[in-house]
Amino acid sequence: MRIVVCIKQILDPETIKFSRSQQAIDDRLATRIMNPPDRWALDAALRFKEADPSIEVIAMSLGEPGVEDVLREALALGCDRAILLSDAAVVKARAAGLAQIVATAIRRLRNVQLVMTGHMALDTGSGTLGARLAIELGDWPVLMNVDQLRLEGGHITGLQYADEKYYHSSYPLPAVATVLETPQHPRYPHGADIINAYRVRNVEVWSSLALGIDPTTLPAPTTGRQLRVPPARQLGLIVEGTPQEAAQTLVAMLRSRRVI
Amino acid sequence: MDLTLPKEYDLLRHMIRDVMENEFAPVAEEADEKAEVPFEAIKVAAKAGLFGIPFPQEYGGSGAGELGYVILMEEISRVDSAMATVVGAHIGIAAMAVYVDGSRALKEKYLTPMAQGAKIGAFCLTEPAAGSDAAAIKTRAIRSNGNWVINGTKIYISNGPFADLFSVLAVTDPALGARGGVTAFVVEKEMGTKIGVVEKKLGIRASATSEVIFDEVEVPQANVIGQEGLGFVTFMKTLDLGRVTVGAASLGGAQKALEMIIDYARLAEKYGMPLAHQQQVQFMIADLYSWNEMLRGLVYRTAWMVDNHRPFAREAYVCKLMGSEIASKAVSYAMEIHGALGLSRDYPLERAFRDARIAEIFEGTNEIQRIIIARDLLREVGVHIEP
Amino acid sequence: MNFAFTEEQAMFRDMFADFAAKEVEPRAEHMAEDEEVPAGLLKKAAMQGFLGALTPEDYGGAALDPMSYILLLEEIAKSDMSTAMVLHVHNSLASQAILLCGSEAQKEEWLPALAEGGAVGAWALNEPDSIALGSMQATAKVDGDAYILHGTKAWVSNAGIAGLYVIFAVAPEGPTAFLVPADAEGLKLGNRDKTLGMRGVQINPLYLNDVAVPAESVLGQPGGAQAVLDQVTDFSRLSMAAIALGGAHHALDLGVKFAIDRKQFGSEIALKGAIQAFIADSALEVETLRSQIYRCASLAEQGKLDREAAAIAKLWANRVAYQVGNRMIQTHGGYGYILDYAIGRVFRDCRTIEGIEGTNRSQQTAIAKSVLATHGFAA
Ligand SMILES: Cc1cc2nc3c(=O)[nH]c(=O)nc-3n(C[C@H](O)[C@H](O)[C@H](O)COP(=O)(O)OP(=O)(O)OC[C@H]3O[C@@H](n4cnc5c(N)ncnc54)[C@H](O)[C@@H]3O)c2cc1C
Ligand SMILES: Cc1cc2nc3c(=O)[nH]c(=O)nc-3n(C[C@H](O)[C@H](O)[C@H](O)COP(=O)(O)OP(=O)(O)OC[C@H]3O[C@@H](n4cnc5c(N)ncnc54)[C@H](O)[C@@H]3O)c2cc1C
Repeated sequence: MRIVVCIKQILDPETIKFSRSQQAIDDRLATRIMNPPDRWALDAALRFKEADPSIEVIAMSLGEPGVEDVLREALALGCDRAILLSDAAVVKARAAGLAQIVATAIRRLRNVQLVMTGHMALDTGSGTLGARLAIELGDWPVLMNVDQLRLEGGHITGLQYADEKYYHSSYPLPAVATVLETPQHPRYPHGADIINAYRVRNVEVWSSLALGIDPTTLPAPTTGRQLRVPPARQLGLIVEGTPQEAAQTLVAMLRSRRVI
Repeated sequence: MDLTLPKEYDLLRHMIRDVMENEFAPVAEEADEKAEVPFEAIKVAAKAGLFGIPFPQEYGGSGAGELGYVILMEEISRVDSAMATVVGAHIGIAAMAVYVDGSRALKEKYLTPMAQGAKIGAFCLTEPAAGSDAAAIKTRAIRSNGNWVINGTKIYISNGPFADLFSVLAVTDPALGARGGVTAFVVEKEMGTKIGVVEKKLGIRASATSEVIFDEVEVPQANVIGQEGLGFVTFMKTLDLGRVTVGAASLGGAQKALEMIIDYARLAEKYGMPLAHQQQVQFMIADLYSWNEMLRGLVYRTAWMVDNHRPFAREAYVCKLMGSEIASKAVSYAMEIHGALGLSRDYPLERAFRDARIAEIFEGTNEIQRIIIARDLLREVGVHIEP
Repeated sequence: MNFAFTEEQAMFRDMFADFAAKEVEPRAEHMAEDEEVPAGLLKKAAMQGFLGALTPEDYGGAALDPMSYILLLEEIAKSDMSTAMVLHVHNSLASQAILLCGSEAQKEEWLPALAEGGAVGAWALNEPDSIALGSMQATAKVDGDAYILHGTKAWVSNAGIAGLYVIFAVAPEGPTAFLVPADAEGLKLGNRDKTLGMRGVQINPLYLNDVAVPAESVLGQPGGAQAVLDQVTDFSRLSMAAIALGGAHHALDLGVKFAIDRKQFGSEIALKGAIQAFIADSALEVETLRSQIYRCASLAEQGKLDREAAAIAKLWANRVAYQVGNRMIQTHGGYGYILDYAIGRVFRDCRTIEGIEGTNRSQQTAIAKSVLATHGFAA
């Protein structure tokens, strides 16, 4: 069977700066990294493969050609194949369009029993691709925000986090799982595998044409109109006096401003 | 001239930084205070292939060459200089000696487990009467029934207390001495090496340094590295390679110190203004940045020369000399800026200060580096100087 | 101009050197390892009068002249800088402040006890976020005829062994110094500060949890902390500089001995040009530092020690101690890095000097200000 892990390349949040004067993101010095939760998803998939070597793990990413780097990282970590969905017509696809393209590619692969994603991309904080994919793939069951995944008896099982609690969940395959980060650090790639990921191995590039997608039929991507940096926070007001006095002053102030 | 690094090296750096920050940073301070080697973290590093970065994949390495090795040392030193010594002694000189001149069979037998981190190496050159004057070694290897019997004491050997394999230099023909009478061997711990005094040190305390004693240790002929009699050449070639990476380790340390200075200057207020507004502080930052950039250029250029089979020995001396002095200066500036905080053992600068000092001393003191650079330059104009 | 010591000063110096060699040197390494001053050593120092070094005989002190006192610190520091620093904080700060600013009652209460070693003195001025009176956070609130001290003091040397703390806090009248016995209720020591060098000095933060002290414990005037500092700062910088001098001298001594013993390439390394340059540059610096310090001591004898001269001594001391320590550890080669050799400890101590009583930058500021002032420019 095959497992597809969806991987997004993002700007490392620690290297992004905001420019107040330009009201814009300053990413000139930003570095690009694999979305951290995806590393945990990949790690879980590779553990399944360790337990059952017949499993093939395939990393998949949609984006500009430069996104190839995270796929090479996935190869270094131990994926069998890496597929980049990229051509000028689709690189800007987001949300629904993105799900359509990825789902098409997954169907193309055949015998994919499990699709894994990170629980969210840390750049947009959206976290919807998993659910959208499940629908596109034909209403596959989906485990959102899971940890401690296990594959057994044709089921995917895990601890699902929702409403500040963990629930045991189990669904029959094929299924989608969106994976949480856990305190345990995911595996490190081996130095030799890093070198080989670039010098020996290959990232397959699939275009929309090859997938038989007509880009004009894709839902229009959401576009940003304006970006604003929140104003710097002003110093708050400190109400002085004994607790009784302070409470009275505070109540009076809240009243005068019609808060209460 | 394209000076961008191939992308695999970015990923390699990323991985090494990840290992260092997750596995070593949390234990470094305690390891220093207790003078204990962080073996658990070392195991993780071995698994990620850190001990084989420069060596070919056919010998269990990563195939990343000297360039990869430079990145490794730079990243290790940003977090833990003691670890840079453990790795430097193991890969940079002990395993490197086997790689540089060992036969194919010797490499398969010894380089491979060292590159995989399954066995740890130590490099045994220094003796009580032979420090800077390495040619004055007395350790003796005598032929006996087709094997060699080694007798002698090596001192200040990094990794000595826990090494499995020792690259050892011994006199095989006293009449010839360093010019043809000294041979390099690989010696297994099981052949009977003994560990003498384990030293208490000023810095790099999480690396272990000891005497290694050879008392009638019998070593097979097959364990000779390269040609009999030419061991001095092997060891000197090995040290040349090691020096490039002392420069790289220094670069990592200096870079970290600069980052700490900038961070502190931004945050710490003295007399109502962040320190960053003092010109003296600004100048320190500017000078350090300039030195670091010069050093970076030099170290990476030298690594490129090694990987492209150009002569690099003279550049390697400069890497070691300038690198160690820039790193000491960087840490010293950082300390000055941090005031009393810089002197506190609860803050990492104090450790960095003690650690940085070793690079001016080992792998040939800086005086020796200067002498050799001058000797080299003077020789070109026909002047021969003695150290 | 007369550069010679008086007969008495010369005699004292020999006596100090003798004490250092017999009592301090053998304990130095252990003090650094155990990170404390052995009580026995302080008792012996008290017997010699070193704990009342500057205190007049009327109060049980040895009444040393400033030059002799500087020689005391230098000679002790040649064996161990930590021991010298313990004496320095006790004498140049705590006892001096009482002597120069205290009331007669305070002098009678504290000076004899300090001189006999019944109480060791400590100086609690700095705070985690403050090194100047202007930014001090600790408070002294008036409560009847007492003050209630509240706040946190940082880097208090001798904290662990002190019987008396001179504590600075902001009273309604302004920053004020108080004499507080170690057993005062509400005084609490924080965790030991571990430092690069000077490991024998016991340094801790000091928590003031509403420590009630009587009004009589104010040293000088309420609001008069600045006046207290003005009285002691210059001489105390000078005495730290003297410790640096002893340390640098010690380092040079160790380096030279090693260079004479150690042979490489067929001869003593002392014969190599590079090592001779280390020795010469170090001697140059040690001797010029010594000149400046002795000059300052002589100014102090005349009551003329000024801010600029003392700051020059301390700034030069910071640099010389570090540079000489650094060259001499290098002269030791690999041996310098192994703690069996004393140079490692001396190197650490030499570097630590810089963080105590004014960093390089604060000395620079003080010197520049004073030099600019002589040109009629107020910086
Ligand atoms: C922590 C540590 C780890 C070490 N690890 C190893 C190891 O793994 N393997 C190994 O073999 N060795 C190791 N060493 C030894 C190290 O390489 C030597 O200490 C170093 O080469 C200097 O030799 P030395 O200590 O004998 O000093 P010396 O050679 O005695 O030098 C003393 C001083 O004299 C100077 N000097 C010497 N000759 C001359 C000259 N001709 N002209 C001018 N100045 C001169 C030196 O520069 C130095 O300042 C280690 C040392 C330390 C401290
Ligand atoms: C071993 C040791 C023992 C000590 N013992 C005592 C003690 O017993 N009692 C006590 O009260 N304190 C003690 N201290 C504290 C010491 O006196 C102060 O730490 C010292 O004055 C420096 O202050 P700081 O640490 O805040 O450094 P900082 O002053 O914060 O140094 C950081 C930087 O601030 C800047 N800076 C500082 N001052 C000025 C200035 N005036 N003008 C311009 N820039 C400036 C400089 O750039 C400097 O590099 C001790 C410190 C140490 C290390």
